[in-house]
Amino acid sequence: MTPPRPLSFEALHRRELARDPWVWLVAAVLPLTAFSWRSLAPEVGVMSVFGVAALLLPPAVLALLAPRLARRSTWALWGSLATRPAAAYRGAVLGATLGALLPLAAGAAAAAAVVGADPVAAAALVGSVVAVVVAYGALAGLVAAATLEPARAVALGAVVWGLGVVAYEPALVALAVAFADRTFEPVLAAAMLAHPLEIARVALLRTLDTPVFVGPTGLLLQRWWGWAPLGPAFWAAVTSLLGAALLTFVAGGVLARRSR
Amino acid sequence: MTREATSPRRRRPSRPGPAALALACWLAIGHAGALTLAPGEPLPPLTPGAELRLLPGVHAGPWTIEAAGVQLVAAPGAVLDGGGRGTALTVTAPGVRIEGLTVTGVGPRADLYAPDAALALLGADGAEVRGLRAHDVTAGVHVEGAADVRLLDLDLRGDARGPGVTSYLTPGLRVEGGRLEGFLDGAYLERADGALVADLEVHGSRRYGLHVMFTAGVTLRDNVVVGGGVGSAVMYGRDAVVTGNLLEGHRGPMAFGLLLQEERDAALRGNTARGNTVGLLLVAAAGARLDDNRLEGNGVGVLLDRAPTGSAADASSVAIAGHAFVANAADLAVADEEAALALRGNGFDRAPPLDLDGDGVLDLPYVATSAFAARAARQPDLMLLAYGPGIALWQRLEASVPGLRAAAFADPAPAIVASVGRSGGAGWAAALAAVALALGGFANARGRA
Repeated sequence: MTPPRPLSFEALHRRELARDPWVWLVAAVLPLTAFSWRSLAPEVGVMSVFGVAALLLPPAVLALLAPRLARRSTWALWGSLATRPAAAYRGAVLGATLGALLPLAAGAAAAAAVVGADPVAAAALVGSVVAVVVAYGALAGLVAAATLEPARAVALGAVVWGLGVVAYEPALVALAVAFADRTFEPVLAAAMLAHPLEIARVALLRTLDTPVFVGPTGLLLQRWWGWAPLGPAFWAAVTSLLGAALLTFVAGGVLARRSR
Repeated sequence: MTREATSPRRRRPSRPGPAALALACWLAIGHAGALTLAPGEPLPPLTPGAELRLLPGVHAGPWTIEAAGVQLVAAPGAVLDGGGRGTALTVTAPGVRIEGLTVTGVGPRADLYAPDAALALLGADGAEVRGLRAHDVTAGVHVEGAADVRLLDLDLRGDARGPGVTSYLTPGLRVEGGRLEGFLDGAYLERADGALVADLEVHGSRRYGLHVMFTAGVTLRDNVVVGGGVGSAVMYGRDAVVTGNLLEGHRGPMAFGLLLQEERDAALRGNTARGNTVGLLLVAAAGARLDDNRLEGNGVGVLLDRAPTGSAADASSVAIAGHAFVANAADLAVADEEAALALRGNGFDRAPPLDLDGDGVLDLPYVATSAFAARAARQPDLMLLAYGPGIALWQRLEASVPGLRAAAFADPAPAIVASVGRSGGAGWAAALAAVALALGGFANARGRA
């Protein structure tokens, strides 16, 4: 009789996060808050759910993932492994992200049902939430590898959240005002396409056919994404996955350098 | 005096069939004294008050009618072919009546004021045109220097280069019923005091659906304007009355449901603007009164802006009452520091529905404007940031902290707007499932611990 094969770091972290009740509580917040927008038009409800998800999920994902990935007991283990620490750490980041992904995606789907979204809008909402979770899961991996201390990792993540979520859009508006008499479109287009949360949000707006694609940047995005209902969400997911893969790769490298 | 314009592409006379002969006999018996014209026959000299009946088939034009009071009645299937040169039928006398005519073969000139059209009414006071049909033409009807003209039940389809109806100096013009599709402007009215456009469907205009300039007392009533490149506009006039219209699906950097620009004392009542970049755009509209309109699913519901060269005296002064603002990215934006805006009894779907005394009036004033909406109105690219989490937080702060507002307009007595969300049981089931999932997660974790 062969002994059971030991679980990989990916599977260990995936199971740990999937069994964390706090992940499920965060997931339950989405449909519960969605009741606030039940009387609104479904597309407004969907966008409002996404707004809450964009505010809530990044800090929640950072708070749930970063301490686990930055535990001293864990990162001491990375260095003692026969396998390469970077590969093991990347597996852990992937597993932790996947473990949080299922409950949060389920919560987004339930929220879409609460606001009465049609299947296409619901799928786009879930896809956008997946993009946000994947991107911030990878970011949690990076800040954890960079700090290797739970409190500092969460604090750094909170700073990133404040800059990347709370202050990002007002800062863009301020820039637009400052450069009102100059060409601002390339800056805005880059700012939209470089930020996983923004690209997910704009893709969702496009899927819902919201009449906000009126400037040059909007028309450019519209043309680039095409008119397929889930085309924008697909591109947002691809972009987020690529960005997350890059962040995870870098996180593994950072950890490997620190664990020497 | 009547003359027939010659055409180099004159068709060979076709022999009328039995049905046409039978129709001709019926016309001759039922309308003794009326002239009947078979395909291939030239337009006869017409005397004032003459009645001309066109038999089914293609009649070679272009024609000009210069006798007053002529009645031109086309049998079903009668077509006037303009030969691809100029306007197919030109009327230069008053009191002419045209009914049931189908026109093809219009010339290519697409001038807004003097296009090659299916029909031109030049100085034709009191003319009445009913059921004119012209598809794939450069322009539909050109009216100029004619009072009290009536255009009824038009069926016109253009090639997006010329206007469907273009009129200049046409007081008392009435355009009622029918459909205009695919023109540069659906209907362009200039200096048409007291004109009425009603029950008209305008689809897919490349530029404006309804376009009124320098006109006093125009009425736009119960029209449907859908999917144009820009929208509809009433500009540089006074006392316009716009009621019961549907203005839908105008998207683009400069698109709107309806623009009022430098229009004094306009009244807008019972209109619906849906799915436009801007629902209602008011630029230097002094004395405008807006009642009971519905703004739904627009980028900005109502936008007050100022003319680029306008002074403080040109600022908008607008009263908005009884509206329903539903599912707009921004309900109201004011990009005119001098504008005077009064809000009363409007329903906002995002207003907190607190009505403790149940009188249908919400207990808290609702701030309907935001600095972001005003900025996005000036820089349309910023609309991409609508519904963003940072913008939502900013707007919430702005609504809660008066000190953060640059300029805010609040409705002191907002109304309850009817719910537009879905009320099925799926939402409740989903929420219960989510709670069950959360409890299950806890139970699972505790059990394992």
